[in-house]
Amino acid sequence: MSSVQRRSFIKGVTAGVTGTAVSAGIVAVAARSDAAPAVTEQAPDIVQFHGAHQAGVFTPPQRAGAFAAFDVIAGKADLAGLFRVLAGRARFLTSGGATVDTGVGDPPADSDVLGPFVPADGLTVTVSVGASLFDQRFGLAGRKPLKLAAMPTFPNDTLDQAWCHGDLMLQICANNVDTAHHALRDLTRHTRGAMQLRYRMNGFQSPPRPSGTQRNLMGFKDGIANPTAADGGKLVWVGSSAGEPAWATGGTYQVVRFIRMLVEFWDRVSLAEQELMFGRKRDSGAPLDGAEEHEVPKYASDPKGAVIPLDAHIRMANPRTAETDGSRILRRGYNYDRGVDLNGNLDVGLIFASFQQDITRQFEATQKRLIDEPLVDYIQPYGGGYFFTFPGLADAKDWYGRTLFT
Amino acid sequence: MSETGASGGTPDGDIPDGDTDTPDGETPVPARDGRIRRQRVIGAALVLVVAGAAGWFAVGHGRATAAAHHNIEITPTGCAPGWQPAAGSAQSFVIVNKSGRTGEIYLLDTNGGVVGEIEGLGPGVQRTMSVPLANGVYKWLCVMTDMPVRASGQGRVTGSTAPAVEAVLPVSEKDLAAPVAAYQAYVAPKLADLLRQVGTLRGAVQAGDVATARSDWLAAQSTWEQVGAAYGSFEDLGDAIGGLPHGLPGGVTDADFTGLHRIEFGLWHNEKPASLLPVVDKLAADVTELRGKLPQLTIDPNDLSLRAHEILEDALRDHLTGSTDQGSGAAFAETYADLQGTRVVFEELAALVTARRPELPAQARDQMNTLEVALLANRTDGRWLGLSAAPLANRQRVNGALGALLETLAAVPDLLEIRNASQATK
Repeated sequence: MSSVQRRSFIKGVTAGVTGTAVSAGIVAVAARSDAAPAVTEQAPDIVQFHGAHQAGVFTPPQRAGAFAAFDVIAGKADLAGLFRVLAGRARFLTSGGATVDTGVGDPPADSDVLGPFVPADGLTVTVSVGASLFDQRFGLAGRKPLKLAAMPTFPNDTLDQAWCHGDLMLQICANNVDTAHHALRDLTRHTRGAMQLRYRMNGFQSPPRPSGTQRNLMGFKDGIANPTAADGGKLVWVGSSAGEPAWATGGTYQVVRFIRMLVEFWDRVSLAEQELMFGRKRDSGAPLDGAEEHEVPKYASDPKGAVIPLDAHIRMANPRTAETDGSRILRRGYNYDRGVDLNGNLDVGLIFASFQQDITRQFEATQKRLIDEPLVDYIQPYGGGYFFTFPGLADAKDWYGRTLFT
Repeated sequence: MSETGASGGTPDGDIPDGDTDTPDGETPVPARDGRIRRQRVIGAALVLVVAGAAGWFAVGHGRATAAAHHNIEITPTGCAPGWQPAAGSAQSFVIVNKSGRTGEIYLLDTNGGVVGEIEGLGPGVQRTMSVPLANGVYKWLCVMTDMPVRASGQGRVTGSTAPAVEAVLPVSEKDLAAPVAAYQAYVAPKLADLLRQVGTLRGAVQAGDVATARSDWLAAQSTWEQVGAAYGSFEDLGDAIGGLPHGLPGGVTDADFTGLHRIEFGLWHNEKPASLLPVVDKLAADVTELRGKLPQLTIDPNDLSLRAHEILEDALRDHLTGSTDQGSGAAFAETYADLQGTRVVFEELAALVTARRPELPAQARDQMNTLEVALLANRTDGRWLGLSAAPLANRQRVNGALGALLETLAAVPDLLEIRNASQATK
């Protein structure tokens, strides 16, 4: 494909994204239905890399996701260089292009896992930093985002420190698994000696079954009531008046949680009990007082929880009150399925990922409402962390965290 | 932060002259020194050695937009008769071997540097070669078995905007003779050291002093690692001395599991020291035999440059995963010894490397120093931390420093491969 053709293709994609954002309505508490589900939208082939915000937040979730936490082992003088390299590689990988013969004096520059012409394939690389990056090592202690801290242990957690925290979180999503793999392999190769993997997990988005929002591995549609890009300023993006450091404007907070699902146990639970725990019908995803997944549950007319129990997951997570409206989060999770547990059970679960403007006001408020919900017997959070997602890269010269260092 | 080679458009945020910012962020960057190499973050120095994304684009566009195919024929009497390159950057050649022989064809620049090669080209075989060429003069060299080495006429590339592929001056077997001799001269006294250390170990084993035997074992094991017997050099004797139970039907109880790791297994698994004496004696006999054979052992010169990165590839694969550990947990000590062996091999080759890529040796030495510091953080008062006892941060620093070094060293065998192009009459 010639460069000219490719450029015009990018333009077309960009226009499509804009159109989507405009057509999406604002979801108010009083709305009769939740916003159109992002998950049924196809991620475009080339997701625009530059902009006020990073891609991979409101981007319709691609089918494959890789979450990789790194620790920085470079010294203070080299941290900015690491972010420059990451930006350069992410810029290339998310745009696609030909790989090149480096001559006879080097091993091949590219693995060719995606063939000799690297397709963008809907790739997004979303780069975030953990609280530990702001310790004494890099002289950044005074520049930490206001609400960034190490993820605490919640009452129902069973945390394994090997699966927690990290200086950096790379969320790599693409239309296909091999594309996400290729990107991670390329990024690690170009940054060897500067950052080192701490843990990583691959996940997948399930297609609509048979329609609507993706189902989690408990069989329930998950992420139905998600904010849309129109809610970004209110719920997701850090604004300039939030008391945050100026460099953080346009960024967002990312929460990643690894949640094991005890699916064998779950499959031994009656359908009625399963549905009461979630508060939704398993087949359609509709709230138990409704008929369709995007209907808003009418808690006001069910004050004692006769239809949707007061401790149902959807009711505790999002009570749909004016007071809790500001605590909504953008969920962008991936299912995972990776082997066998020591007890012979399937090792499967959810990579919970959410974006929010304020971790305390949103994620933690939601998480605390969910303490001891009935569902906790069937899930086991064991890892994850809090991260701050850098603002977007403005142009070809920009790099992650440029404003953090100036 | 220092920077060499072409910029990927990211370092320091400034873009060299000649760039064009395009709306979708593509920034073709002509390489300043005419090289295209991958962008790397290199250890503490974080040298960004390359073209990276932007450079790839520049090449990619060239290749994607043009590239008419040109037939290059090897005949019984000629090498690419009548060839002419296309105008512009992208070149795509179809090589047709009509000589009836097997051999190699090289594309050389005016300095005799190789910019493209096809090796093992059989009779009647047709292969393609795509290579972006910078402006300049090039010729082909055909090196077919039982035929005189023939060069083509010169072809001139004009109107190219591509950065040149990095040319590599071919290395001959003769070029590697001195490094190979130096390596053999290094190994001989190391084996003498090893034999002496095995004798010391025998004393401790015979005395039933397990603690002393363990430290004697580590001394002997470290010497063996320093020899750099990567990937099956020394063949059966190498296995007898440093072999692992992996792949043996009986595993650790297999009769063929002998040598240093067998002794390690016994010393860390409560075996009676006396029962290890025959193993120690066999080890001494095997080392003695290897010493005797060493002068006759021919070292493939290509193996030496492979060893420049494979000794440490072994360390990463075997030691730092714990997969070869027979109980000692000595991964850091063994890797440290491997680093010492690598330094020796690398320095023997450094002059040849410098002639082909001047900045590489300094970069490799910096990274070796970084790795050494990271390893030594796990040694206190002469005692090494076990792999599993080391904090995650320590392991990350070792793994990361080693990974960065290996990316650099990986070029050594490609740069120093013996190429028949060295037969060119210059």
